[in-house]
Amino acid sequence: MNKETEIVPSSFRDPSGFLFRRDGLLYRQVNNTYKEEYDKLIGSGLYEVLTKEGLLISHEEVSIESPDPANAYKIIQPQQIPFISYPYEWCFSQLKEAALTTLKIQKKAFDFGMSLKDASAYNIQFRGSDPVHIDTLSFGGYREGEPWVAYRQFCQHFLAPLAIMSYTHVKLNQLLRIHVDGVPLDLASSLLPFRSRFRFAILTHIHLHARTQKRFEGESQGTGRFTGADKKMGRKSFLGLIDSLESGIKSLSWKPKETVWTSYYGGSSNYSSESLEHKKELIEKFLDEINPEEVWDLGANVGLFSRICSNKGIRTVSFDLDPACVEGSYLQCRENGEKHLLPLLLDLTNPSPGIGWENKERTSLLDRGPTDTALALALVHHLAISNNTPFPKIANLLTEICKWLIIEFIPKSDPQAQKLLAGREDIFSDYTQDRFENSFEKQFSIMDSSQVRDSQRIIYLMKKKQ
Amino acid sequence: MRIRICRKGQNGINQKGRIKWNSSKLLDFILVVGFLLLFTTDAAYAYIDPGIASFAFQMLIAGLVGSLFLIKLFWHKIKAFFLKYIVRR
Repeated sequence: MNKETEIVPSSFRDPSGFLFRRDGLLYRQVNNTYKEEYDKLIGSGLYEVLTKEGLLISHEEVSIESPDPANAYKIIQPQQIPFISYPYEWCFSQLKEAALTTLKIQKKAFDFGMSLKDASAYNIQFRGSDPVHIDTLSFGGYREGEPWVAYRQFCQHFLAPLAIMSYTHVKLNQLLRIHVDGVPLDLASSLLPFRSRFRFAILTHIHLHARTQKRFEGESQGTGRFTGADKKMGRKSFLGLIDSLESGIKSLSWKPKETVWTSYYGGSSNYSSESLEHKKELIEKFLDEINPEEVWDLGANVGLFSRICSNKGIRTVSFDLDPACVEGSYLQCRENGEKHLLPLLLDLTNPSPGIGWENKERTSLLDRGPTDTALALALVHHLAISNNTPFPKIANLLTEICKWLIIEFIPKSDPQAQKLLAGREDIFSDYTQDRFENSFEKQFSIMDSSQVRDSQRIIYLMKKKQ
Repeated sequence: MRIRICRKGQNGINQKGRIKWNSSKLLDFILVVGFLLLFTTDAAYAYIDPGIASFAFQMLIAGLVGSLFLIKLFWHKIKAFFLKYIVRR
């Protein structure tokens, strides 16, 4: 095997092929076992229809050496997705759009005599606000009479978490971080309230489905395996199943209430209009100086400053821990057709870890970096005061995340810092501008800084030391 | 009403897990089981792949979801037919 080749750990389950990286580029091997399906996907015209509509990632067939030549049918180079995100980092509407995209693809595939053989939420990625299916090897031939083999996975990856988010609590999307193959249906059923049973799709595809799973456990244990080989599911029933799932997904909603974060920049107490405008100008000026390819905005709120970056055509990932902020920002992206902004959920005090097999199947946030530039605006006082994190630890984390840093220091005398200190003893004698600068200067060079007008806040442009 | 999901043979082995159903009984089945579900759903630690149960479950609901789909497809015609009938009466 080529020394530069690295097999991507997320695709090891699929016998149809695997992903690998070589010289910084991503490739997918199509194995001989998948030859028939791959040829049908391309030859039937399904690939062309799906890629034209932006539902499936496009690819080129390339002639390069295979890491596993004995099994290789073709090597394809898919269009690159700049930032891979995971379902537990998506807001409600992102997961809902991903679910509807999966079903749309399934319906198209059915028209061409094919069907999705898996319905993993991890097969969907976002290009801006648009979901796209990234696994070219997910398509199998449809055989008349067969049920949908991806049904259970669809229910676990999409319907169950969306129902729980809608009925119980939106933050329960974090169950996807624990359960790598989606929320088990018995767990979903027990978490959903009584009234969810009055919605046909939820009653059927979650509650009764979970019940049947349990019943089968009892029926089949030690008595042989149920094969279902003599059962048939007609085309109309198959379409009915997909239609029922689609109606169920469409019927689910979540309307965020206003939180302290969603109104953060709306309230007059946080920023005067002059300081807000000046802060925007400073960020714009620093961005023009460094001209980054990609920005991660940490603690982005509803994406006010993220959009300064994305409106310049800079690829921007806009992280926030408040589901209402991310939801609002994503809906704004969709409404405006924004192509360069990706809002995601992230708690920086506990960022996404590596999960799944060997903790490598889904990579941690830090393993998906570093990025060119990070914005850390109105963030440090939360980490230092609310989370008791010393400045050197904050600087350490940021050196792993970015090469350039635009960071705001808010002194203790600022009303926002005072709010954080109001309910607790002030044990933060180290929380001073000097200590902040000294701590960061060990790992970053301060290239520029400016006080925001009509405030005591200071914005710095820093560059990571080599 | 009697619905059997699996039929066991003399030796206790499932004989291809035959599912017997028809559309009208199925609706009753769903309503009754749905009612029972209001009370409890226990955690399941299945020995068998739960995919098999999902496979069988689809067969169980196939008639219902298929019928609902057809009604949805032809809803306008069905509605028009009944409206016409009611107006004539």
